[in-house]
Amino acid sequence: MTPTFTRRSAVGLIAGAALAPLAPARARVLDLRAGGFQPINIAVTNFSGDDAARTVTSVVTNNFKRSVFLKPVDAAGAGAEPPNPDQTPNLDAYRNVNAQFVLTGRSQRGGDGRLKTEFRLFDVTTGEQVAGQQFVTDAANTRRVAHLLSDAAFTRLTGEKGFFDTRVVFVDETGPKERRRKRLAIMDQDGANLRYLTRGDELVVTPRFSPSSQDVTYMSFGADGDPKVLLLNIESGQRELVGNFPGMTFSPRFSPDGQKIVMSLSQGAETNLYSMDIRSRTTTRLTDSSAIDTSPCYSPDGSRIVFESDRGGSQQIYVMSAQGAGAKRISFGQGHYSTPVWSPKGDYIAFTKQNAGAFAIGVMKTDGSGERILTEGFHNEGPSWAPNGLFLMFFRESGGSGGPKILMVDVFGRSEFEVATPGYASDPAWGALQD
Amino acid sequence: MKFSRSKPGFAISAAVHIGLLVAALVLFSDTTKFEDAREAIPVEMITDQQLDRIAKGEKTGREAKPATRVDKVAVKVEPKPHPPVAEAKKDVPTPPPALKRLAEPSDADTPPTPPKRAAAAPPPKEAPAPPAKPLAKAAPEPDKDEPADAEVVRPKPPTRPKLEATAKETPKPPKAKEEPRLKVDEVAKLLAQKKQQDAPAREDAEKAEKPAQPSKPRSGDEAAQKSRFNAANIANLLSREAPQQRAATGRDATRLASLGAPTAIGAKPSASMQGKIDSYTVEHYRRCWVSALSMNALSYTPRIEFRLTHAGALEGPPRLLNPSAIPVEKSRGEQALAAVRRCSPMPIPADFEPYYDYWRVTELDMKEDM
Repeated sequence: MTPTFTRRSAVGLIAGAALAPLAPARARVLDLRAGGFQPINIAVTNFSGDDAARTVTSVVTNNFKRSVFLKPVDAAGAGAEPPNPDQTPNLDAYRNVNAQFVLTGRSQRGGDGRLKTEFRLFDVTTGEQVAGQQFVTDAANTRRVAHLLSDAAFTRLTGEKGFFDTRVVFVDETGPKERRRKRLAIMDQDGANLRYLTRGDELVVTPRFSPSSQDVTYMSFGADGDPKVLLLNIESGQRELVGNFPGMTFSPRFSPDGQKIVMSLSQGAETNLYSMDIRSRTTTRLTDSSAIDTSPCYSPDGSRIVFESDRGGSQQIYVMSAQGAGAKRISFGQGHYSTPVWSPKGDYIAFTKQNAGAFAIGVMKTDGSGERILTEGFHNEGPSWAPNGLFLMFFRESGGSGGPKILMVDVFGRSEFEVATPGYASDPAWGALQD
Repeated sequence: MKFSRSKPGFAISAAVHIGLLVAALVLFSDTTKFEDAREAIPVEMITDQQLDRIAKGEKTGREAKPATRVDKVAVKVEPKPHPPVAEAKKDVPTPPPALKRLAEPSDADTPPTPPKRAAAAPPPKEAPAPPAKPLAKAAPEPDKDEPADAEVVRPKPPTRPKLEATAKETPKPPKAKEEPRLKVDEVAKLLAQKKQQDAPAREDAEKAEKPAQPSKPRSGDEAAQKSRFNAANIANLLSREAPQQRAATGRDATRLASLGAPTAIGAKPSASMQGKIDSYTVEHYRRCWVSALSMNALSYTPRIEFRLTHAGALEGPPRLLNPSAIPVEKSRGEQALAAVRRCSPMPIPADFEPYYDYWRVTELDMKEDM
């Protein structure tokens, strides 16, 4: 069908062409590059209620201080009267102290003894409530409620998952250096609620949390001196041997689905990687080389394994498929690389790097590029990721007659905090967010 | 007229015309404007002697007689018959009475009371109590020095009290009632009401002094007294602002053309002025735009559009033009909007004011610092 081209349509075209310059001009587009990192200022007001309210306020404030991305500002300095948690607070007062958000809330026990906690989060610039939740629980879980509340606020403001409601398994060390007593212990990520899991009769190292259950796998040196991999249920205390292999097994780590454990098995001069199905106890050999392959770690999707190997002549980091094929070196910097750990977000691999007598904790992308050192010192080792992939815990030996301490650092290397423990502490394993 | 392949003349002609128009618009858009034509004023040079001669005049010239002034007498007009209603012209409405000038605020005047905040909102309704669940007995804290042995045959270690948290959304508090802001139409209504209230009082006063006047002078009714036109009333109605247009000399006209009228279409800034305005804007909002909180945000650049008033305040809320559903990117977009709000208003330098149309609408690509 031939198109119809009429006088009317031609006039319209001409008019449109003539009027085109008179159409409103587009807005100018400017590039605005951020002026450096600054945390979000958040005013944490005193929660109203009974003594539980004071605990909640204190725990939340301390959580934010260690969060790097949120900075609690002095709400008392705002000069505002204690806000009614059922009303919008006087936001003008908080603007004066440069608070961008205000957190109000209430926490008190009801008649049945259960603890009811509620909070509201307000945007100071708009006056709108941007988040709010209520929690009803046993009064013994006051600190956990504060952690849950902190996670909710953190997620709302950053879009990232929180990390406050998590626990850390580590090796507690007491006594003189030559006769150090080492026990498995578990604590909240802020150091509270510490509990011992073993008595200290056997030397224990490298505990690893299961991502999907309350199980911990670790290496223990039994009476015969050979290291064995054990599986421990935190709640029940039940412990069992993971397989009965001839030789030494060490560096165990769970798969993301918690159904397998990958570890090193040393037989003679060879040390190769094996995976074992927890239920069926069937094992699969993953590497077959004359080198020492150790410290394996699954990727979050379970499709790949990163590990440490000296097959190239020095300790370096390699990545292969979960079935053991296609091992490829990804570390090429100066020094030796060890203890690689895959981020729960899948984007980075943390490692320990030794060079010129110094030990550093760093991160690199999964192809080995973008290497960044987060902290460096006499002896830093054993990084473990927070479940949101934004923080790492590791332990640092200061030398001398002292002992190691656990520290926490953010993935940008902006800050560093010591995690308080009653004694010396090493080998931290950061668990997932609790249910 | 239909397009025919055998006779493409019309289509070709239209296409050529369009092309010429477009070319003309493009090519001549940057041409310099023609200078205003200057009036040629003829000037004749005379000497001093000629000027003296002119002032002396001629002896034979006629004597100028002063003209007699005659007082003007009003012309009597015969009243015309009322035209038929159907042919009556539209009545001219009486001008509104003069606006009362508000007294200047003095120290004795008390400032207007700000709107009070609403009374304490009622607390949100208590959520129905969750069904009672059997609580795990919270065992006492175990002795930290001697923990229970981990062997299977030994007593179980103390169990943790389970967190039976029922996380519910906290309802937002009711917003405090604000006194409604008066819109322009409502202001006009208030003024009209005030006039109506004042009108009876004034009418009563005027009636006592002067004879009653017809309510509305109808068109064609020449016998009716003319409306009481008062120049002072008109003066009161006039805007007190600086006149938009004024009689200009040649110099003034040039100056006005370069500065531009306040509400007319703004002059186009030069390239250097554009750069100055752009860099000033970027540096102003950079103070409130902080670096990314997550490496994921590097792949997402929020673009914020906002409009400014002449004073540099936000004209309406800023808009996020490329929102994302991914939590981290969504949060980043909210941070970008908050950054623009926090840094508002933007102070406007005096030399930016004539180019309001240029900087009125801005889009910012909020990027990271790395």
